[in-house]
Amino acid sequence: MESTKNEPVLKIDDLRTYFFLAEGVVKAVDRVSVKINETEALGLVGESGCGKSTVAHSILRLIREPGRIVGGKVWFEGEDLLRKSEAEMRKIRGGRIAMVFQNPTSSLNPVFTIGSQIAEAIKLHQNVQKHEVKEKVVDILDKVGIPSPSERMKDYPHEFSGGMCQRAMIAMALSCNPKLFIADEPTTNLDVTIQAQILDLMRILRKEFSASILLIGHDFGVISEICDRIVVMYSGKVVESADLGTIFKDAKHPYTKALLESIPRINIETERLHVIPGDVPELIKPPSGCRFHPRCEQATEVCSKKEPPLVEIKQGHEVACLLYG
Amino acid sequence: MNSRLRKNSEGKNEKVHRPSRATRLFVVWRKLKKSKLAIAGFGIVLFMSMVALLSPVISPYSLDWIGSSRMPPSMENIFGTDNLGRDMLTLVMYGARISVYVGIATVLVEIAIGLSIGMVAGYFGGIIDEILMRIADVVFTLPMLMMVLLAISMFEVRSINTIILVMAVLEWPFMSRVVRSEYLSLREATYVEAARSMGASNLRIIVRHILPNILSVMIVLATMDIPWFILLEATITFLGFGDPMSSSWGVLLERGFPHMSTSWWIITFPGLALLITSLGFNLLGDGLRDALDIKVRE
Amino acid sequence: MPMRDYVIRRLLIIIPTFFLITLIIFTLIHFAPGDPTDAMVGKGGKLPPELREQIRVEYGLNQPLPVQYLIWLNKLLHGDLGYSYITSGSVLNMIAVRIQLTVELQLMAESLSILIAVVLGVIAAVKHHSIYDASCSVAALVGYSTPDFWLALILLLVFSFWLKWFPSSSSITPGLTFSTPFHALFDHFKHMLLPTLALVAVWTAYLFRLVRSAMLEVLTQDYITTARSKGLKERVVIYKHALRNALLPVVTYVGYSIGLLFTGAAVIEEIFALPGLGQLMVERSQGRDYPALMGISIAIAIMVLIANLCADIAYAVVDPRIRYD
Repeated sequence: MESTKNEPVLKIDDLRTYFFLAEGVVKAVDRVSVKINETEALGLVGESGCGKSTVAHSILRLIREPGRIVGGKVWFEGEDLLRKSEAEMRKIRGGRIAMVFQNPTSSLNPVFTIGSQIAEAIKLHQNVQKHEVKEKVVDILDKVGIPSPSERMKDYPHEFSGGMCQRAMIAMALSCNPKLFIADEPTTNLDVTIQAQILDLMRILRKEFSASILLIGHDFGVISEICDRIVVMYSGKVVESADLGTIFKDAKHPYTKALLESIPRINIETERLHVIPGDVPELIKPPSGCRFHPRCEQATEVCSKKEPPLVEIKQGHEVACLLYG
Repeated sequence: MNSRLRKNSEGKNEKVHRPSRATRLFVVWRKLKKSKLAIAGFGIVLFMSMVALLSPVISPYSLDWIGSSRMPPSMENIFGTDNLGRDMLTLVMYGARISVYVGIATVLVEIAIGLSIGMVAGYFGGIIDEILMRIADVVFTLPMLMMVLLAISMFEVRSINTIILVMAVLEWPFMSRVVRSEYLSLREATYVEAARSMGASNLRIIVRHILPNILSVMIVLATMDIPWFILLEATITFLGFGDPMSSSWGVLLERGFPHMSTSWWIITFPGLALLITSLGFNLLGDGLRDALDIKVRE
Repeated sequence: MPMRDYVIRRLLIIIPTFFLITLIIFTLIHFAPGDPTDAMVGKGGKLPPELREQIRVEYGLNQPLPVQYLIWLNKLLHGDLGYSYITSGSVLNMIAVRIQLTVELQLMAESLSILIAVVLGVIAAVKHHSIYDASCSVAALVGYSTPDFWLALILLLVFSFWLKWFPSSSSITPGLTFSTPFHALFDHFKHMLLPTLALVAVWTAYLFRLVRSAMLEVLTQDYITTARSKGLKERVVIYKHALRNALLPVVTYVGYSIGLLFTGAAVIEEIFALPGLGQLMVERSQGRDYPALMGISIAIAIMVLIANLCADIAYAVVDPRIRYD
């Protein structure tokens, strides 16, 4: 099947990924559906533990015991990734879909050079001659903004700063021209100035590589720098999804609104920072009905009994809240 | 439970519960209980200690009893008799007294020496630290057996306590290094900085914050050192450098070696006793290490 | 800093260490109670004081200790290890004859142990929580708690005395001539098998635990997830990315444990009547043969230092972070 402009690059349907622990079953991802279109940048936002990372790992089937994908479908290039064999998935990982992770310095193997680790990916997915590999490595390192790439490719990860490691990771991910580029909290562990640089880099590369991006994070500021659409997750479920402008101006779900309000704004005077009362629920025994209701200011009695379905209230704007459907 | 009053965010007083030392120990105990192997280890250690303590009471015969020599295991002599007719079970039981004593005593001396030198090196730092650690490195590198043989061969009198002393003294580099590095890294810990900034004196910091953490590391190491020393003493004794009066398991093996081909039971049971005791302590040490979540820093 | 400088730095540290060792050994021996001349005449021998004094002068025992030390050291550096009090033979000769067997025993035991431990340890870590892992771990714990000399005795008992499969002592069958070098080697091998096994059993147990725990820790690292996300085969992930890192602590341990190996070997040599260095040490210790003891200790110390150096170099080769001390 050929993908046209209207066909999404990635379509996650009703995904369920559970972790089977001694204490109980953790429903980390509980019936999540997400869509990413061609060249679109989608932001997946939520607090720690809401399942956003698990969604990313599930796409590439990197979930290991005690976790398991128990249901749903992940459509990519016309096929359900969850039905593919392990050998077929390996072709896709790093090739058609690539991922960068949260801790760049620890995500690179300390005993191999940066260059060799990137070359490894290239050799795996592309049909190139040995002498061409080195050129490609230098080329991609240059594209991500690493100075003197032909020397620095012989360096080891501990000789690179955090920001540079992340650039190298991005280089590794983009080296094989993936269709979908997943970035799991890529800037969370970097300091703010470096964060900005990496985001700039991602913006530039987006144009050059025309890949779709799935950006995962908990910082709205970071997400809004790049993404066209935003999906908000809470406690393993999608609570709202809309394009960037709509979310900021017209968010409907109480959780989204609370998140937005928590962002300190430099031009508004407040005495105290707005916080969402309560704690992220334990995923082993989530609250009944709507998972957010214990912390929701607008909760009613029905919210504790009935789980709200994800409803499209406007073109391209979905909400899971009983206030709206 | 310790409780303190503290002003919370609304300016009201609030009781804060801090787990007392008893609670912490309880948590460790609970973690320890979870591991079946650790329990087994503890059981073995307890069993051996009981045998050691109670051997005069529970041994089937007294130490003077002589029966027919070189009898294989039978109903009368469960472990058989040795070349002089002594009951092996009795000998093994009494042997436990010495061997277990050796293990524990050596470790205690080792801790005393290691703690002092390690703390001194860590606290004073500078030249003292350098010199101590250089010497420690050297002594550490040399083979233990060689050093022990050298040291023991020089003493006229070979008593079990001499052996204990020699072993403990020669092992000081290991314990001191661990104590020192634990001390150094703990000293830089953030919570120590916090305590210091609140005006806690050095002594108070050492005693209340650093020492307890060092002690938990040392407990694990000590537990794992006990079998090492028991085996080392047995080895030394087997080679002929031990205290022939002490009747430890090593002595039994030394005496039994020449008769091995005719009477296999003379060496088998003392050796088994060594194995089981060692196993017990090792299991316990493993369990303790997991429960206390220790990572030994080198 | 490049490798060459690292090696030079290590060598430079060895020199003062070596001198410190000679000092310690000398001090240890000479502060022993008892008169060295007693050793020469044997216990119970009565010597008129003039003769005793003559001996003292002859052996230089009347000089102050520091002078004795320097004299001995000087001779040492010239390769003269003195003469045995007991046999009057050259200490150097004695050592040279015996060292070969000890080194052979140690090398065989060490290599075999490493091989078995690495293979079993990696598999156990990969199959964590399986029956295989559990049984290997328990076996390792038992093996590690076994006194090596007792194991040697049992092996001797069972395989040599009872089953008569293997000879019980010395390194070759005395008195036999062999038709080919191959036969001689085979005979030698028969003699060395049991001693080696006794050492290997305990060693492998310890190394197995080390490898397994190192692998377990490495397998939880971020860079392993990255490797998988690149699409590498699981086998490559384990044997290339994980093992390299897991071997680091193993290399360190193996290098520095030559001393421990000697401890085990000495007793094994005694039991199997193998004329090696360890057995010599035991023998001479009983006889208070000071020159021999000093010589042997120095020889052993040198072996240990060389082994440590090799370990340091091996570690620097394997871990690129180390060179940048």
